[in-house]
Amino acid sequence: MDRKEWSALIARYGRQEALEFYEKNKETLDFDVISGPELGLTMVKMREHAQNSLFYIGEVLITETKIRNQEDVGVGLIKGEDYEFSLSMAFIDLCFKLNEFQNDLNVLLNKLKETEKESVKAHTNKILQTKVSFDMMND
Amino acid sequence: MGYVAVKGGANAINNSVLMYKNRRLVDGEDIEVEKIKTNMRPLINQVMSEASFYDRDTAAFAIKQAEGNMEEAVFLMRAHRSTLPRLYYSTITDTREMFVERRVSASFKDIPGGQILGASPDFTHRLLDDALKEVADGPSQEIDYKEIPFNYDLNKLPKVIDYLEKEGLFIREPENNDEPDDITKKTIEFPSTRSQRLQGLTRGQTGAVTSLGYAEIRGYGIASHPNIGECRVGQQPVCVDFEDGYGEYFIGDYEMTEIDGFMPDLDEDQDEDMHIKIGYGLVFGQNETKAIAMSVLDYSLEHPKNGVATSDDEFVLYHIDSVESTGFISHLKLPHYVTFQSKLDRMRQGRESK
Repeated sequence: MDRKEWSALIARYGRQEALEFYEKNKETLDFDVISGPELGLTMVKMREHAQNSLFYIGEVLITETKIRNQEDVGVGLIKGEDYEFSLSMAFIDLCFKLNEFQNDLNVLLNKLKETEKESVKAHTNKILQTKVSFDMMND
Repeated sequence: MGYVAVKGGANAINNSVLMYKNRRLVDGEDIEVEKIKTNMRPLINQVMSEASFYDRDTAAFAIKQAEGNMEEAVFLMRAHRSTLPRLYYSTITDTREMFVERRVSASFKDIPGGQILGASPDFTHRLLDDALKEVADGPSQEIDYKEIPFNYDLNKLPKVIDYLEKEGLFIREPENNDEPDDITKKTIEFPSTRSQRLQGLTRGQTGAVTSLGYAEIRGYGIASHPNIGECRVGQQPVCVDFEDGYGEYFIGDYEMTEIDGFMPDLDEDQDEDMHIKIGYGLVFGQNETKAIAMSVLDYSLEHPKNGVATSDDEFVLYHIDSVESTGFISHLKLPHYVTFQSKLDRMRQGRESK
């Protein structure tokens, strides 16, 4: 699972699990906090579809934390203001880089994948209740 | 006449500020920011879009402090934004990856994936609902959910223009990956670039963008009725790349509204096959009117007509920004004693010389 996939899974469905993972394992891994958790901005670059060019739509609020174990740096970025979650995400990023707690993380991510599957299915079905059926209109 | 420094008014100013801050508490109860966040979504969407700063909590907080005054709330958001460091630029974000929660086309009945109305006030009666005078515990009527077969994923829903491209009615431009200009870092110079125009339009004041877009199609510019090819609203994933060799990092999903407006072809050459041209609109939050107006103004600025104000980039972009326009208009009521006195002096001298 690449970083884009695991960070999306945890950010969307695994806040509580990430906090618990951090609390459980933080004493067994040496790390220093380099910066944060602190608020900052990310400027969002968009692809427009009229001429396929790029433009900036605006900035989004994020919370960022950086932690370090020797040369490896773990980064935690979270939408909005959420200091605990950001620190937990930085810890998980560092674990992936150091190949630490991989079994625990795999279990966690597989569980979140199931949560995602159910959540997307339920949300999709909810949205589809508003899909227009023109066939029905002709009945 | 020389300048005369005066002082005074400090007490009056302090009391004025206090009176303003206390006013909302004098006649009623305070309100939680969370209640604003959940009950005033469209207002939050407008504030975030005009502030060019997406965070629902901060927007709700700004609205509370501004007592619901849009221009004040946008000003507060912009001011707060200026205190925060910009840490990252996102990777290229494409609405083809949006988790669509609403998608309609006014141009085609049968579009791949169908017409999905989502949550919209479009079909409601505009009559005040007496039931809302009471505080509800929950929805008065639930949707009767049924399983609906669907052959698409809502986060990979094809765009209407993809379908037109297959028919040869729309020509997709080659990808242009030039770094966009950023009008928050460098002032716009005219003639403006496309990225400056789109950034200026998306952060424009909703009312101003809508009014100018309306003028453009009513009779002062293209003077024609565009067709909305696609209106999509949904959750847009945004990622960054630290370039540390571990790949992209997801930060969050952000609600956006996108409009592909099919416009009359102003460059139409009768000898060539006709193609559909697009005016483009994209804004933070669900704000369809603004996004449609943005698509109209985008097209008019891309295809300027002589003597038409709404296709003059300087006229449009310099006047639609909420903080700039409301700030300048509003400052007129503040003391201008010295400048006005100098005007009076000139008038008096003119009279005396006659």
